[in-house]
Amino acid sequence: MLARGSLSALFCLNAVLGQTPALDHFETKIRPVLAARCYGCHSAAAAAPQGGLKLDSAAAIASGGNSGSLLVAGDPDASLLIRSIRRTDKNLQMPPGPALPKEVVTDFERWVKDGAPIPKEAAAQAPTKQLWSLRKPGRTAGSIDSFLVKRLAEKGLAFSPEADRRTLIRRVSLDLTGLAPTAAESAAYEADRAPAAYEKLVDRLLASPHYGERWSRHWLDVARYADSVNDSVNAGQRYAWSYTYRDWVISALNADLPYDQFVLYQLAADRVPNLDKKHLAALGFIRLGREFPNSIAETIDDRIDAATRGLLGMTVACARCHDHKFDPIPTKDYYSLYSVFSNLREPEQLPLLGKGAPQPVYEQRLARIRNAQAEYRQRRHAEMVAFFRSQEAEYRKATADSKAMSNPELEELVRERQLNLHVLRRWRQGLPDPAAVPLEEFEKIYTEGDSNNTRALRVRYNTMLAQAAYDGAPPRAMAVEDVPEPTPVHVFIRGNMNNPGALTPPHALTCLGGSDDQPFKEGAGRLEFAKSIIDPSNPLTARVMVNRVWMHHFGTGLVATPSDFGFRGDLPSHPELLDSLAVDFVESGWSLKKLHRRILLSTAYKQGSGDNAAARGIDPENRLLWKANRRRIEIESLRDNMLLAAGKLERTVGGLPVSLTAQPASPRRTVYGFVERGKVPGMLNAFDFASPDQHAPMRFVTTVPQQALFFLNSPFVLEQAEATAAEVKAKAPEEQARELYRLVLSREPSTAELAAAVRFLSADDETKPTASTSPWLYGVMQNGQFRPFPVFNGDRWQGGYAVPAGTFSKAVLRPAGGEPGDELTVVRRWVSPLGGAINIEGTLRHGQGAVPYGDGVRGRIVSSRQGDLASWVANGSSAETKLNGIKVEIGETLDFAVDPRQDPENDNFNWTPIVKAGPQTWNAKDDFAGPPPARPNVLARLAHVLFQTNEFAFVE
Amino acid sequence: MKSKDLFLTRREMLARCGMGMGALALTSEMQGAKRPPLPFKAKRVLHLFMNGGCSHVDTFDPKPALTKFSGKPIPITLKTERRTGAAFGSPFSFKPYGQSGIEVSEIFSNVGGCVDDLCVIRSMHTDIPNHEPSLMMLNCGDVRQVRPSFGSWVTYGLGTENENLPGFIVLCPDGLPTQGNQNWRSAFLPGAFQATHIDTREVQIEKLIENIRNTATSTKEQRRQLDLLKEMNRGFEERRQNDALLEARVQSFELAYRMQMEADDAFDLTKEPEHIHKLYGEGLQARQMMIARRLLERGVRFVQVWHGAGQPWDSHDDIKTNHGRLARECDQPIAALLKDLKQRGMLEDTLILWGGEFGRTPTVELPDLGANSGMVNGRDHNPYGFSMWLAGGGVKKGLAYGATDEFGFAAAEKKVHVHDLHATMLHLLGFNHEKFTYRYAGRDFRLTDVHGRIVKDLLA
Repeated sequence: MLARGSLSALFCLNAVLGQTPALDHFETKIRPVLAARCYGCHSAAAAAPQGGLKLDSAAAIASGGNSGSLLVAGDPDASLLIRSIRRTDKNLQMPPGPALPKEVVTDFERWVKDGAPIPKEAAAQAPTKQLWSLRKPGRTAGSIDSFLVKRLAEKGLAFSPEADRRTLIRRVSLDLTGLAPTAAESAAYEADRAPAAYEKLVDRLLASPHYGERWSRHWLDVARYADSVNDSVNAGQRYAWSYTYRDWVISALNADLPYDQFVLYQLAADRVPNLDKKHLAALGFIRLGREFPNSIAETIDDRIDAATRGLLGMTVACARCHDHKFDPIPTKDYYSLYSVFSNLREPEQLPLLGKGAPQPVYEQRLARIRNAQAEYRQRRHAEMVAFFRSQEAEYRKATADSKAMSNPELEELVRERQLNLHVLRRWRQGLPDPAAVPLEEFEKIYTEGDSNNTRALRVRYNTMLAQAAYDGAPPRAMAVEDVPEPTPVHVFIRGNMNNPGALTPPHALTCLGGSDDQPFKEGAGRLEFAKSIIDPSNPLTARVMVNRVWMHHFGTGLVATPSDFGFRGDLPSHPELLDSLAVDFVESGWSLKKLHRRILLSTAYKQGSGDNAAARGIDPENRLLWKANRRRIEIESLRDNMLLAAGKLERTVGGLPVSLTAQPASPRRTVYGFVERGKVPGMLNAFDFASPDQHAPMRFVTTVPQQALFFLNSPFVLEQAEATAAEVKAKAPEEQARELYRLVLSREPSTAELAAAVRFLSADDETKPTASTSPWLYGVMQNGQFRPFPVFNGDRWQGGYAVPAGTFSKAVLRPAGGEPGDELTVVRRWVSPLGGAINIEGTLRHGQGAVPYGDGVRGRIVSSRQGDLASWVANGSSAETKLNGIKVEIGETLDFAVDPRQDPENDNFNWTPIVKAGPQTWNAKDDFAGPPPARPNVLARLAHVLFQTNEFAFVE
Repeated sequence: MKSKDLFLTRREMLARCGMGMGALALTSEMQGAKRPPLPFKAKRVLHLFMNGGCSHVDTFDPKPALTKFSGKPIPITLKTERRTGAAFGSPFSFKPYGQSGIEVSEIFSNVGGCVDDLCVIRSMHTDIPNHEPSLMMLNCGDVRQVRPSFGSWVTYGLGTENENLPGFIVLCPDGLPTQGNQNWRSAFLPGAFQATHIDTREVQIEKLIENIRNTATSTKEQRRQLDLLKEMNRGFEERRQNDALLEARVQSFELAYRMQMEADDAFDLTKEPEHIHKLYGEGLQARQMMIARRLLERGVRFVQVWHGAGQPWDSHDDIKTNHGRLARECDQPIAALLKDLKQRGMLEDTLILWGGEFGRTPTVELPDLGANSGMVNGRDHNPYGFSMWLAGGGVKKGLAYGATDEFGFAAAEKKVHVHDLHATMLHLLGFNHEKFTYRYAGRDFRLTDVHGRIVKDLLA
């Protein structure tokens, strides 16, 4: 079969297209046979083209199938196609059924001898119709309003009346800063009748540091930002300094860094001469995407995708296996960018961004792990080289046997003989001492066990690095740099890495005027790639960005598919307006704040969102903008505004990520929440948070009961409701209700609302259930004192909103175990509710991997009255922690204490103590619990209801 | 919402929505069941995942030749993850079961008793001999790229029959399988179509579904809060005419309120009678299978049951002990589930899939530093040939389909790729796998990408 056939030469058919051909011969003798005997399995119309091969277009024939290229122009004997129809090869007999007649085979041979010419087809080449988004944006005179009014008038429509002032200040505040105005701000604006009041408001909000926080989140969706590499299934996935990218975005937006520089730094800050080092943090854009273990090609694909859809609105990743089906993006464009992103590496030392306390302890530990890594590598490398030397005879024979073999055949051979492909390649190249693979190439010769072990060591290193960072190590940029000698990249035929096609030097996208002839020259070409994006003549960049900004202000973009400006994307609803905004954006020096100002000062933006039955009949989707759209507020703002109402919102800009699942809740804005890729908190997921797995053009808007459950029952909302109620000073129900309305909805209640609220407050017949008390406490021992953990985070008690947390270090307690801190004992305390004899059961467990490290943990049981009762050590082992007949008194405490011994690394343990007294049992795991549930008073329950209203959840 | 509003026309909905097609389409997609475009045989899916890779030559694919050549080299060498050596005959005996006489290993004797209801595919194959890509292939139809899972596609296509429960539920005890949440991700489909993972070791409802428990107030007081909320929202809406999004949100609170009660019920196994507990037997797998049935019964669209966290069936060493133990854990519960669904008349429209992400080699795995414990009595991963079985919803009963080569290394006759399996299952659910697409990033994506064919021989 073709799929297992061999091929002896790689060849790009494009080279012969356009030669003077005997095209008639093809049309009369070849194509009819292909159609009759081959298209059934090998055409675009076939259900599933067999062997990945299609024969129904020039381009498809040129790219061949899974077995590689089909034709060697001029050489029938070397052409896979001819060999298969001749049926000389046992594995390669086509087509199925009767063999082709001899004369037909001769026709094919002649055709190949002539260079295998095929008429060019429009469909297989770049689309002839020009894509609207690739035309240079033209300037048509007019304001935002004039363009919109023109389209509206065509349909007999007009703008809706301006929204009332309270609606407007709420809308523009939420749009720009994500925070609702306070009742006082709202009232002041309502009272300010000066003509420039609105303009002043817009300027004040644009100058607010909260503007950068709000808009950074929009950008972080584009940049598929996360604080962890992959799933958290494996430990050590946390990035040490991801937040420096997020903070860079915030400060760049607040400083109104021109958008062209904003883009340039994110792609190539390391290549821009004389640049302030703080901008190196911008490179997180490249670095912080998903990483695919064992598949660098997927990591690169993700980077290409984020850059091209995110910045250019072009779906370049579609051209990975074949030329883009619709847009003018050939496969070679994809691989040209592939070489830009594949010739990258992480610098040995990430660049420092600022000062922080020196951390000799961490530096020592990191150095120790680096040594372990180097030792492992050297030892195993030497062993492998010795092993390959011992196989000299086998390799010598394989070298001789494989002289004329293609890549797939070679792969087959090493598989059969269980040899190493890289070593065999060295033999075939005639290198001296081919078994002596250089140490740098260890990854090409190591075994699966080595791969597991080196990964474990890397995880260990990254875990420690993140620990250092979260413990106050000076911030660093998640930077990248070019490798010193970039490796050229070939097209991978059908996206298969092992099937290389033509060489593709890095160059700008073909549709933007780039070509092989003008390759990028500097390093791997990243700077030039960035410059090709921000070139003012690039028709896409400005359009894509102004459309994103428009989308966030109006709910829908002028182009409704914000990351697809290709043939399959939507056409702009107002092309002249889009162009005018794009042109002005560039001419204004790429100022985003000026763009916001222009949009926000338009009549279009200031419209009310009221209904108009007639207009609705004509334009139900409101694409023409005859009113403002009512929009559901994003989860970030919902959460932030609850904290704001509760008087708890912390306004510091920037900093380490905090847990969003903690109780009590972190008072930080949601943008600072820790985003774990693959394990996004339920709260964010339920509310359509953009998946950080890949670039997100826009968020979905779904309405699911999980959202309502969050509002009804989540500890977060209850906590904010209680805190908001606690802000209320008044004692009379009517005044209390007024205050709550001001705090939550920034307004006075209507008479009817007030009556309903007062009725609710007066009919309180909740009886306070008595809270059950647990005998368990969770904390650490500090200076001989028990200090309870302050934060409960989902399934664990910990010392703060991130771990390590100050003096609590990295100590945590989980239902079945935990981890002690650095030189810090973690304690699960049992307070005896009885006097008498008890028995204790349990097993202290500590695990070690294939490459053990650390010295395990020590567990003790300590009585407040009797002192140490017992002590055990577990290090890659387990110990039964059984004590019988211990006499205790009421109120006596037993501490199940675990300390790190000498070495504070690798100290995760499992220990579920069970205390038994007669028929009574206290099981540490089953009893494990967070803080007791909230018991909101009636005022808090009213605040709770106000948080749940549609008014709170929507912006109008 | 007033009752007449439940029957808004699409155009009316659109007109009221004012959020553009996208938002509305999603709002309505979230709610209620949808009919598939084509005639269908199955309404829901149950996937029993023997994660880690169950050995076919020890379970559903008897190979006498392998026993005969045990200890001797065989003439087939295919690249698996690790080095393997000579033929390794199954340590288990096989015998024919039922009317169909399909041979099943002794370790699945209970499931063997149900073999006349099964459609055993002995010629499965997939692409890569590693867990991660093969899990992704079986779950999401692509070995690496970020694509929605099968369950997400199905819930996207069919909606949910019980709005009080998630439409796609994953049961896995003690933690997450290899690749974690990626196995049931919704990728570019809306997040609501991602599965809800439930640790079946947990018995407390609040650990099963986030925020399901109202711990703050009495139910009566919560009702009073919701009544006030309704009143406030009504006032807000009156000033804004009917808006589908506002209405949908009001409804979602009522739904959530009811869900609090009903979810409890779905997971409460004390409500199962004694004879049912007896039928399923003891242990975690019995518990999982009972929960699975209760969920399917309540209209959950797609239930995926994993054997355990990590990759329990990955027996690189000691296949006899390990496979023996694993099968002992789930044989009776799986057979019980089949019988139970049948006696409730649910087997007819429930499509069941059983199997792992790949099979295991018929040859013995050789010792390798850091990779196995060097016992030389286990099997490596094998993507070239393995067995899975289907049952229920429109598949042939008592059929053994396809075959591996005489040693069981590679699928040889009537090969069925994972893409083909997906295409066939979608067909049974009423979808043409080539037309069931979602537009994203400039492309119309399919579960089967550009592959897959319906295996007609499997259809009843």
